[in-house]
Amino acid sequence: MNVGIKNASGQLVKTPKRKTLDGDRGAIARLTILILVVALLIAMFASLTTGSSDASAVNVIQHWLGLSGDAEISMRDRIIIYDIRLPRLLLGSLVGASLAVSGAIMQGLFRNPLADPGLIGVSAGAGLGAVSIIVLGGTALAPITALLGIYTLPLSAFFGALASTMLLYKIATRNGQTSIATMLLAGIALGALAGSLTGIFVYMADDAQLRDLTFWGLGSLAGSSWEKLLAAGPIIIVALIATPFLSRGLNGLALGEATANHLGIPVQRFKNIAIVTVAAATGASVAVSGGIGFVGIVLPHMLRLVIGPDHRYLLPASALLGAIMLLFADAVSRTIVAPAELPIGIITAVAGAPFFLWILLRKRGMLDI
Amino acid sequence: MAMRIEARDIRVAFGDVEILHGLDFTAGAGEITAIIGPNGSGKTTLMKALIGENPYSGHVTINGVDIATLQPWQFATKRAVLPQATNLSFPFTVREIVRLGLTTGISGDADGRLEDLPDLALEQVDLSGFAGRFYGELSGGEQQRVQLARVLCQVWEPVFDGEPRWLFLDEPVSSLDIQHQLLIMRLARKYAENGGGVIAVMHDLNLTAMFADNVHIISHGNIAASGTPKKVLSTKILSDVFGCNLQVSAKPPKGVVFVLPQSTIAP
Repeated sequence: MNVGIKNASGQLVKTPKRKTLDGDRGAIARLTILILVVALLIAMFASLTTGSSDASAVNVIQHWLGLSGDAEISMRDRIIIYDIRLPRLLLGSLVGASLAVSGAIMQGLFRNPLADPGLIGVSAGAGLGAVSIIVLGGTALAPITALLGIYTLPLSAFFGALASTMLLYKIATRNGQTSIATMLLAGIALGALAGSLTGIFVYMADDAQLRDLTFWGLGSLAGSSWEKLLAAGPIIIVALIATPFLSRGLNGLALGEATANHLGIPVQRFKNIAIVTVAAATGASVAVSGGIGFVGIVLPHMLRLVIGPDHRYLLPASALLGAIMLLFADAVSRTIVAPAELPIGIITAVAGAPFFLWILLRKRGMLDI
Repeated sequence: MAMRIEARDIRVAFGDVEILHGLDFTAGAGEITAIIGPNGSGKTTLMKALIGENPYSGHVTINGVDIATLQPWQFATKRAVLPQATNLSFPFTVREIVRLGLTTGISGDADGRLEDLPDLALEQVDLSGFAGRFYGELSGGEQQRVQLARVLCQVWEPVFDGEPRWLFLDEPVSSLDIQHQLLIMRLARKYAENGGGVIAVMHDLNLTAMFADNVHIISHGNIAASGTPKKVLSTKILSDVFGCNLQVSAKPPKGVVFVLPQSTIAP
């Protein structure tokens, strides 16, 4: 047998012949990411120029260039574009990216294409944190609100998400090993618990708070402002920056925890970092936009069909596609019942739930855990 | 520095049940060391202690270093592990799986040709042309060989940085046909001849006799016998350990048809 293993004197015994790149989806993945970058830029520009008002970004640009004489109209456009549409589009992009990436990370972590922060109670925990601040922020928790200012809501949602995840972790982990089945089931139970506690706060809420809560719970980007962007943006951006460093660990985990460890990944520490990242991204997103569902399940799944499950590509592609799709859904939400607005969570749910069921039907075997 | 795997007084317990009762184990570089024994005797448990996968009491050293002091990535540069079975959570292609074995800083340098290793490794396990297939669509034996190619990518050079590297193979040939059993065992032999170490949990006693330099027979969580195949693969020891009447013979007994790997009687 002619082997290509290096012999004792350090020579490769046989020269390899590289015939094809069969099975390497890296090129397709890089092309896909490039296309998504371009698509995101287009989506951002479209989102800036369209809406129920006729304000046009083109007008503003013309104004900058001194091509437009009508300063008054431009001023109105500037307010709509700078103070309403721009923060909304930035927030929408960040939230979309964060939701899709959180889903992809959770799925890799739990080795299950159906895992999602919404499914294992992370979003519910974040929601509980947010709702408790909305209801009690003016009274019992007023000192906290005073201390944290605009960061109160995203931080309380983050801590809600982190607390529920860590509790879940304690329940599902024995001797440093996390049982996926226990974690998923305990997640459902904790999600229900967080939901009922949220219900108590809703019960305590006054009429104005109730209206806030309802709209927030449906998931919406309607209240986007620079203030919200400043509050949630940095947390989401830090989480997004952390994600590329998770890809090798997630790839290793695809072969199982033991094999990931054999490949040199410090599995338990890695899982802790991944969970904090997801809690931060989910918490901040839930705080500013409420429950926007299904983005985290549907988009990574679609991408895996095209570029494969390699997380080095899947994570950035999910972030980009998440941003694009949320801008698209937001455009629909702003225009479909214009001049009123349909909460974006309704749109993602209507589009995502049937897709989720379709995955479920195709992957019935995967649920035998 | 002692270029071997050494384990002293290894005890492993799951709950109140002690599986391994303080056994000693040594494997040298440049050799294939086989671990054999009946089902449930503790073979895989021993291997999992040696690779740091199961909690154990006692000491395990690799090339003179206590494995408890190694970071996962440091340990990964010294040894790779082929598990009995691998459950995949997502649809990877064969090439993508094999590439997972490649890690800068762990896999070595392969003369700066790391990117060629997946093709080379697939060729080694007789899976050239399979790179574009989906892992889930392969047979069990093919999947096992894909995993071996991944393992080879991780520790391609048997000697790296002046130290031998180690292949831990948990029943590497159980799901393979006889042609590929021989292929894989010869691969292991080659790896050992080039200075690496191979530790394999084996079920096939004939292959063990053919390929192993040293054999440890495990019985009820203790080492029942250690030594060269010639010494320990005796009718008496094997019959005792496996609890059935076996006959170890250098010649085929009369009137019974049996198959020998052809290569052993080739001219």
